[in-house]
Amino acid sequence: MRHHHPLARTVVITAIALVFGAWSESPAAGSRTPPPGTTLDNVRLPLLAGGARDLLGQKTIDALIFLRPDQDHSKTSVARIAEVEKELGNKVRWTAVVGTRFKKDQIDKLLAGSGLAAPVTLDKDGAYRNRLGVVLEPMVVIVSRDHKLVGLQAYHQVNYAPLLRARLRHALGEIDDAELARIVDPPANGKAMNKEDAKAHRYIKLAARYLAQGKHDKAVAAARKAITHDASIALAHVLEGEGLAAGGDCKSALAAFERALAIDARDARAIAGKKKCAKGA
Amino acid sequence: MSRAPAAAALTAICATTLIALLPATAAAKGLGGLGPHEAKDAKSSHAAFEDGDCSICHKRADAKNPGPVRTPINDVCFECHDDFPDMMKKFKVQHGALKKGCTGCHNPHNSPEVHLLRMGMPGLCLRCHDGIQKKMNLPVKHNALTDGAACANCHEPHASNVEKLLKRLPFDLCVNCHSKDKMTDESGNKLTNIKDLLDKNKVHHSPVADKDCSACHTPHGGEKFRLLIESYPAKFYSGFSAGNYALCFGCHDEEAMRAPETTSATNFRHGKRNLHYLHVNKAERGRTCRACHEVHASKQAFQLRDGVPYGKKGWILKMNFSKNPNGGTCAKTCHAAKTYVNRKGK
Repeated sequence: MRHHHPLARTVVITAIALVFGAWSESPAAGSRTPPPGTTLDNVRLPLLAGGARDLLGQKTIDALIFLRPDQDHSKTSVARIAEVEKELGNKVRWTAVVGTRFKKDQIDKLLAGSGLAAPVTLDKDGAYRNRLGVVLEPMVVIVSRDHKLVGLQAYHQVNYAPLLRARLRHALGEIDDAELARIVDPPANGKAMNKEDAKAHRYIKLAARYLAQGKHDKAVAAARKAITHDASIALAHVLEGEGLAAGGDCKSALAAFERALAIDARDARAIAGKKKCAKGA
Repeated sequence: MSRAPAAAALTAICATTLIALLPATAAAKGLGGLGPHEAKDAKSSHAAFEDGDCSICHKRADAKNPGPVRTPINDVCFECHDDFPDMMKKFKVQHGALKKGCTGCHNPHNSPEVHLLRMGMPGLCLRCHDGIQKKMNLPVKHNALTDGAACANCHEPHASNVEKLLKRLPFDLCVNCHSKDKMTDESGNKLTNIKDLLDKNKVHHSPVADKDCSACHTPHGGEKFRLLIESYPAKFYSGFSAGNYALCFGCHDEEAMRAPETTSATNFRHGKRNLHYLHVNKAERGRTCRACHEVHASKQAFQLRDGVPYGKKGWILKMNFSKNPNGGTCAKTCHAAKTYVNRKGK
C-alpha cells in the first residue's frame, strides 16, 4: 500500500503552506491553537487505506480526531469517540489524523475493536497537527460547515462522551448555549424538596395509605404529623378531614376542610368533603 | 389508652419478632440484615415502621407474622418515596444497585447507621466495589474515602448527571476540601490550597481548566505521591526515561523530549534545535518538568513558573522568562540570558 505518492506529497506541502499563511499568529495564554472562528484552509491528506481525503467536507460539521497510537488515553478514547460517532451518524463527518512516525500495525492495533469507523489520514511529521496548535492528544477538533474552527475537545476521564456529544450537537445547532453549559459544567443534583417538605410529603403518603385501608385514626394521626412539618399543604388538611369524617367526627372534619380551603379555595376534595359533612352534620 | 404507647408496643413486638425470625447469615457476613434493630441501637428509623402497622408494607398487620411485602420491594418504597422514579428519569447515570432493590442498601425498619443504611460507608459500597478496596489498600491514602460521609462525599448513591455517579465534576468536588490553608498529608507535608492558587494564577493547566483533576490524580488511593496516576519526578533533576514522565506523556507527546531536532513536536526550539530535549533528555541531571513549569496554574504562558525552589533551603531560582514575537528569552536564571527563535520574524 502506497500512501506517500509524490503528487499527494506536493498537494500536502502546498496546502500546509497556504494554511501557514492564512492563519493568524495569536495564540492565547500560551496556547498555539488559532482562536475559534478562524477559517481553516482545507488540506488533502493521504489515507492509511490508500488514496487521499480532504480533511474538511462540503457544508458538513467536521470532527478531526488526533490520535497517538502509543498513548493510553488515545486507546481509551477511541471507543468513547466511536459511541458518539455512532449516535450522531452522518450528521458529522469524522476523520482520524495520525502522524507518519507511527506504523500501520500500530494504528491498526489502536483502532481494533474500538468500533470507530472514521477513515484514518496520515499527517506527515505531525505538520498539520502542529499548525493547528494541537499539543495534546487525543484531541477532537470541531470545524463548522463553512470551515471555521469551532473548538477543541480534549480527553477527559469523566464525562468525555457526553461532553464530546454536546459540543458536536451544539455545533449542529441541536442544543443551545444553556444546554451546552449544563453538560460542560453539570450542576449538583440538588434536592427535590427540603427536609421538612420531604417529611411532610412522606406522612401525607402514609395518611393516604391508611385511609385506603380504612384505618381512619391512623390516617388522621399521619396527616397531623404531616401538618407539624408543613402546615401549608392543603392535602394534609384534606386527609385529616377525610379521616375524621370517616370516623364520624364531622365537626372536626369540617374545620380541617376549611383549613384546606383557606390554602386552596378550589381544592375539589376539600369542597366535596365539606359538602358531605355539612349534609350529615 | 393513648395511641403513642400502643404504637411503641407494637413496634417493639415487630422488632423482637422479626429479629428472631430473620436469618443470621446476612448479619454474620457483616451486612446488617433486613430485620429491625433494637430501638436503643437505632440511629435512624423508618416512619412507616415507627408507626407500628406492618401492613403499610407487608401483607398483614400481624407483627408476629407480617408476611412478605405487598408488591415488589421498589414499588412499595415508591408509593411514598414517589420522587425517586422521577429522579431516575431525570438523571442519566443510575446506580446499578437500584435495580436489585432499595433493600440492597437500606434497612426498611431501622438502622444503627444514618439514612437506614444496612452498613456504614465505605464498607457498604465496598461489598460490591471491591476494586476500590484494592486501591484503598495502596500506600498513598485519600482521607475523603473514610472521613465525613465517606463515599457520599463525592458520589451520589442513586443517580447523577455526571459519570461514575459523581455529584459534580471532579474539580468542584476536590476544591471543596482542597481550598484550606492548613491541610496536610499523612506525613505532615502541607497541601496546596488549590482554590487560592488558581485565584492568584490565571493561566490554568488544561485538565484544571477542564475541571478534570482525575486526569492526573487517582481519587481512591494509589502508589505514587500526591495520588498521581502515573510517574512524575518529585525533584528538580532526574535522568530521562519515558517511564519517569509517564504522567505528562499521557497527554503530551514524548517526541518533544526525544527528538534532538524538530519543527513540529515543540515550539521550545531554536530553529529546529529542540530545547526541551536539550534541558530534559540527559542520563542523570535532566531538568524535570517542574524545573520550569507549574503543574496546576501559573501567571505566565506555557505554565511557566516565576521561579522554582532550588537546593535544600528552597531558595527561589527565578526564571525571568519573557516571550518574544519569534520565540522567548530566559535571563539570569540557571544560565545567562539566552534567546530562542522558533519562527521567522516580520
